[in-house]
Amino acid sequence: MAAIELREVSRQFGATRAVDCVNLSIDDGEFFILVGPSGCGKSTLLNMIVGLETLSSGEILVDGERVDELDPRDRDMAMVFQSYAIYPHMSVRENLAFPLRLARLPAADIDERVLRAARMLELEALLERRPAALSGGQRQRVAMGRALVREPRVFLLDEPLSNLDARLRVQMRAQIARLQRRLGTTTVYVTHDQTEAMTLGQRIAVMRRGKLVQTGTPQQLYARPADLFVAGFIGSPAMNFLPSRLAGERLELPVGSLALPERLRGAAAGAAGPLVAGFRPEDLRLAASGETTGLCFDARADIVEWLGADLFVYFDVALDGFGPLELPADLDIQTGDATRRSLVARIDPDAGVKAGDRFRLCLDPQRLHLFAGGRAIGDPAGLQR
Amino acid sequence: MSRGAAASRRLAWLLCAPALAAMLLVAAWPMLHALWLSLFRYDLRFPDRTEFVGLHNYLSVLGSEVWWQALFNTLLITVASVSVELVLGFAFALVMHRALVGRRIVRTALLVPYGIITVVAAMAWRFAFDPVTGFVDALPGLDHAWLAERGPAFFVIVQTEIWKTTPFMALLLLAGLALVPEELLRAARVDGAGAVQRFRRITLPLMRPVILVALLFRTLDAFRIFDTVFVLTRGAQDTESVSLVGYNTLVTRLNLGLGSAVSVLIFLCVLAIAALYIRGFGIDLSRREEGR
Repeated sequence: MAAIELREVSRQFGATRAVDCVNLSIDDGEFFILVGPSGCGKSTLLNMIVGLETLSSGEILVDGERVDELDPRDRDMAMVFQSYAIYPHMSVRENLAFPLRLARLPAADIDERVLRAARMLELEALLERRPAALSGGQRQRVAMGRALVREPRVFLLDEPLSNLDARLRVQMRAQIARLQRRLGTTTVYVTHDQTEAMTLGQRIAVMRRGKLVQTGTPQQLYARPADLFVAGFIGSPAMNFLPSRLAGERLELPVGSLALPERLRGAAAGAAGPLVAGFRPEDLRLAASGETTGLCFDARADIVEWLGADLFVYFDVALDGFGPLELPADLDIQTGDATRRSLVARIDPDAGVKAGDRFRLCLDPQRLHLFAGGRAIGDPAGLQR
Repeated sequence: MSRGAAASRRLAWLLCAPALAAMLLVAAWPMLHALWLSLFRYDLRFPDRTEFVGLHNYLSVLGSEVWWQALFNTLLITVASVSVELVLGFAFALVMHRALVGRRIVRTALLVPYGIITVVAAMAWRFAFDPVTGFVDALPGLDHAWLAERGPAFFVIVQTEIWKTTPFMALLLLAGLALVPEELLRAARVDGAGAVQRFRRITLPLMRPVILVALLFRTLDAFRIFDTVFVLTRGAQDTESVSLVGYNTLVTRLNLGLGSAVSVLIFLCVLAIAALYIRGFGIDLSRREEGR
């Protein structure tokens, strides 16, 4: 059991700051996620917590005691690596027992703990096998098992599921969540996959270019992203963005204009830099006949993705009279071009919209996010969710 | 077999043919010829007395004190030099692998001895250990006629071998070190292994195939030692190696029958060493990487 605290932690590699002044507290027993695009410094940060990477400055505390100058073996943390890092010359049993042997536990204790971990992860039948004779999912479980047997005070997982196929990933995700809840061990989990982050984490920290951008529960990050990056990174499909401008108390968008909600009015008037409006695919709905509340506009379905329970309709919006939209490049959102943007709406599959169909969508102004100079503006707490 | 498969098989043979022909010409033929000669009494000083004697040559070699002494000497040199080379080579390989600065210079410097011809290296060391002109005797407390006594002579021979071929060992082991995934060593660190434990429990076992191949190469090489001994002592002070015995019988005494028998026996010893490594230690020369 342990609470982790990072104080102004930085790591410099030559001229680049891989981790830039990160402050973070992780509660005892919490399942904490570090998420961000590749190269954002999340793995470096994890390696610094476990001790495989030194700090350029700052300190790391576990339960109030400094650990950043301790050797990894004295930190009592276990780590699962992306490549699993299973020892190929040892059987599954020897792999699981390895950390316990190093800790010089009595043989009977080792046997018992290995068996317990193997049972938990359904590895009992595989104990005498060599890693070469295991499937990807089995190797992943062995790596998990080697962390479990130690009963450490912190688990660190570095993209543990990214080498598995999609179906197995969903299975293992659930298993990891169950295990963590059962053991109650403080867990820090690194991933670049926002779905993993949303489904697993009690709290999530979004990292970008070495900096912590926003920390919060999945719901907070989804409902009140602090900036364009978090807004675009969290959620799948990503949030829709359109350039916009202020006209009195109304906000003009390429698809029409709407009355600004109270919470955005003051902030929008004083905002510097170009305004960007954002709304989630589910905040668009098919207009009832004759409906005029909110902002309603016509669209032509470009691509339709039917997923059983959901229907995603992609459509183009012309940016006539508006400048091109600048989004963070590392978001990797396909931006269309200077004159058009592709948006997506999640609608009722029973509506029967097909590619090429014309249909009418409405946006509830209360669901609107507004960004100026990349930062979210207005009182996010007022956002209805 | 389909036409396509037959054609590709024919192509395979065709591609192998030049190498096969060269091997038959320069390896198989001389060996078979030596085997044939070893069954005859054949002395170039008395060519008219040549006659078929069966295994008689082998019996006389195996019955002579000289052969067994030489075999003992050769094994002594082999074991002493190869074991020291392994330890030193590992140390150098680790230095080269972990070197942060001047990696290239370190590697080049380490390889210089291996680039020097054996005869030249042996000559250099003979001069170095010479009681009159050498620098070794100039060192305080080391006043010795090194090559005039058996023990010291062996020391000089073995250290010359070590000096010359440790770089080769280090290079092979360095290639092996590069095969140990960095992530495994990091995982072992987190699991609580110190530097020595990481080396013993992770690096060494994973390098086993590479170590065995390096040992095999070097053992076979060391067993056939000739030039170093020839230059340093010519076999004096009871330092004769089996190759030197073969050379003396064949070239100095012109006894082709007996000399061929010695050569065939050396070949059998080499075969036995190779078999020991491959069967006994289970080197798999065709598949070096497992489970990766």
